[in-house]
Amino acid sequence: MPGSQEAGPGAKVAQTLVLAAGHELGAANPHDYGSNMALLDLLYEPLVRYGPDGSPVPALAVSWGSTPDGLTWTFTLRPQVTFHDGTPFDAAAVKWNFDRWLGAPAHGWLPLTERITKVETPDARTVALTLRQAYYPILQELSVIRPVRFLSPRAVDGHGVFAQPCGTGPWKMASLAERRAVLVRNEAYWGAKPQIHGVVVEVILDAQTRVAALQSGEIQMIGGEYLGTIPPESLATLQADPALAVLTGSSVTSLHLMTQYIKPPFDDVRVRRALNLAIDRQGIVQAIFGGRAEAATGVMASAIPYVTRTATDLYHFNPSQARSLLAEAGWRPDARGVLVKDGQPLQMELGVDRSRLPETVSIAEAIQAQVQAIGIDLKLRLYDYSGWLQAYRSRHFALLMSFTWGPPYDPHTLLHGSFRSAPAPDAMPAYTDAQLDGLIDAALASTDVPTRHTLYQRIWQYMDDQAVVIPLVSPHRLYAHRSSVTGLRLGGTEYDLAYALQQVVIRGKK
Amino acid sequence: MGRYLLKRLLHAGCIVLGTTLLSYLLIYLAPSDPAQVIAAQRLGGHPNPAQVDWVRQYYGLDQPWFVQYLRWLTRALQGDFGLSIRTGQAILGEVSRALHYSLVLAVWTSAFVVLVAGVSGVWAALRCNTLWDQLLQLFGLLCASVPEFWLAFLLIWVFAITLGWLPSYGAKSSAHLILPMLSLGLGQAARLSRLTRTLVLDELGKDYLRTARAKGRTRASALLRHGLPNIAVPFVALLAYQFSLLLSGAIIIETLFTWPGLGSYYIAAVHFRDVPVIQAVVLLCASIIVGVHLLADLSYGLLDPRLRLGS
Repeated sequence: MPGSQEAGPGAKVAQTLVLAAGHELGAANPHDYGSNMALLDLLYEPLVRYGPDGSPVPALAVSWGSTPDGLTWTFTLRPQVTFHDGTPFDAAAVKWNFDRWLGAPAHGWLPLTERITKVETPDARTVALTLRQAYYPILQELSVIRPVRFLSPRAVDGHGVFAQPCGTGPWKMASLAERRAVLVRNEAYWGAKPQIHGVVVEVILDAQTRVAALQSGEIQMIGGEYLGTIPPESLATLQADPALAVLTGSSVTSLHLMTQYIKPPFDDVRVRRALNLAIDRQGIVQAIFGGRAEAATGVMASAIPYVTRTATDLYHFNPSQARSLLAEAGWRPDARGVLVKDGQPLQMELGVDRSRLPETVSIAEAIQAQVQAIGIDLKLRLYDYSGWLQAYRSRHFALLMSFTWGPPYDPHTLLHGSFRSAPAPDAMPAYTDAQLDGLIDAALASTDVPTRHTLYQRIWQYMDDQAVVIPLVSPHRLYAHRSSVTGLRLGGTEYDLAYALQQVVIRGKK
Repeated sequence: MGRYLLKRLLHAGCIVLGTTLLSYLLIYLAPSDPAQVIAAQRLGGHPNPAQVDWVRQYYGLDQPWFVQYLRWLTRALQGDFGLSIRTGQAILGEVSRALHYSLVLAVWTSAFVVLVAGVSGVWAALRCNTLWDQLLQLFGLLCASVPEFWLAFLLIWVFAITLGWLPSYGAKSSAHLILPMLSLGLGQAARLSRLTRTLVLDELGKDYLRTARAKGRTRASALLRHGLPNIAVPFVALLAYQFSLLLSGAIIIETLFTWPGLGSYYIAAVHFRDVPVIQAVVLLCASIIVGVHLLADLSYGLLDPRLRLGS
């Protein structure tokens, strides 16, 4: 077994951590979308990191500031940083990286690509970005991995095509195959160096096999969204094994139901509210997640910036109030207890992407049973991701289960992408109206924190009042590792692997 | 014989072409738009319509499906399979590597199946209705009825987790071959062993073997010299069928053990709607299946003179 040579109890041993990833690793190019994000995080760094509490933390930039109008942002670069190949990290390298991806259609999902109009380098340690309009989430978006992290300008071939992985991060790539990456510690790293000397990322496609490989000791850590989720039925096994430990963190992503709010029955806000009241979120948390989730108090998880709220009455299970709201809206039970209005029964379909999280289908079944109790006939339709996306884009659904994006994308990316009228007429957000559009635009363009905070509270309030979505639950973050691995910690995002491993020590076996 | 071969080859060509056409049609009949799926995975997040159009044009998905198919076919017939949309690498190289791993697994598994099924089938027939035979039948029934994936987990639990003798995933050494080979091979061996036992029992009762024994041969040597050639044809037929399943249909076991063969390569391509890769693998698998069956059919004439044509 790696990292477990003969040594006294608790002594440090030759240290390599072996992790499992559930998907192919890709070429480790930070400027395209084919590579594992957690692996990229070990190699490449941003100007600003998303801190564990959601605040921006200096990384390759030591300080930054903006003009009062929020249109120009100036970053001072960290001195004496080099890429793994020895190339100095300076303003020219930063500009070279920005020029590779700014404005490219492939990166249009990231609002920053369209908002930055100019990248200037007044001197070797200063970079100035000019924006089309004020956009406060710039720091959050500069912390994402693809395409904004920095590649060495010498890591491309003569045509500018990516040739080899080379960043500034705490780990260097020693060898990369399709299903195995070997990384060694970057001894020239500018920051606190990791304790262990190497990391090996092994691809294990099947979730149950990942668990088995952890139990057998071939792998020392599994879990997380980018390395590969842990199947819920394995949790008891993992917890019972004294050689293993389970690490959980508070929720960062949440599930909700989007409604077809422009058509009956969901064009009536009372029906949307009634559905919110008819769902027993605590019951789902206990029965399906064994307590390892939070009942939603709004569309976003409580760990997301600018989310400060506790549950309002709307999200407390109250079937009798749901019934009376539906009665107000004209839906009355017939002899069999099914709600009927104008001779039509209250029937609808709920679309579920079962590929993302194993629990989604169980949640949908629980909701089906819960709303049946108040007389709603709910049918389930299961999709793979592509089918789900098609249903979403064509608005071919009555109810559709969906996920938030999680940090560092939220709250702004989801609000902007799914709840604001898009400029293109054929784009299909989940919900739009002029008042919500105005609030979102004002929040994104706000230049001071108190104003922004107030605006976000108004957004959450408005989304509650209109029952824009039906929030469900936020699953906890879940990892498992060998007990010999200590010092593991969770960063602010699911892909913060460099942060997670920074203090890891592997203890020898007794 | 020459005409027969020509006819069979023509048949084989038509079947392979038909399969590739069918798989192209299926991609376009599936409810999701390939450009949409590729855009979502290639570009991240929920792509906007302009990005989807860009993907559609960039990968030539804006053409009518039969134009796309013909263009693909013309190039494929010249040996040009193009680049994978998912990885950007040359498909020929990727497919060859995957095929290599699939072949290694399929050949070793088949060797295991032939050895185990041949020996145990003949042995059980010779010891027919003894306790050993019945125990072997019971064990065979168990192996044949258990689903492969379940057997795989059982083997992982015993040999990787509990005993720690063998690795549970990967393809780095010959030790990595053992568990996937057993998971795939035990069920196949059990089925082929039962067939062998029945065939041998059938032959044992026949006159020519009695004659051979009357001439002084032992039962075993009479069976080996005269009996086995007679059971070779059904044995080879089932083996060929199982071998083609191993090459193209070991998707679950390949995924479970992260074995980098054709099956898991194909599944990744289907999830991504990586059309050129799907087509290349379908073409390859169809050719292999048709080819193996053709070879098996041709071998019958060699194995059993009564089946030769003409003369």
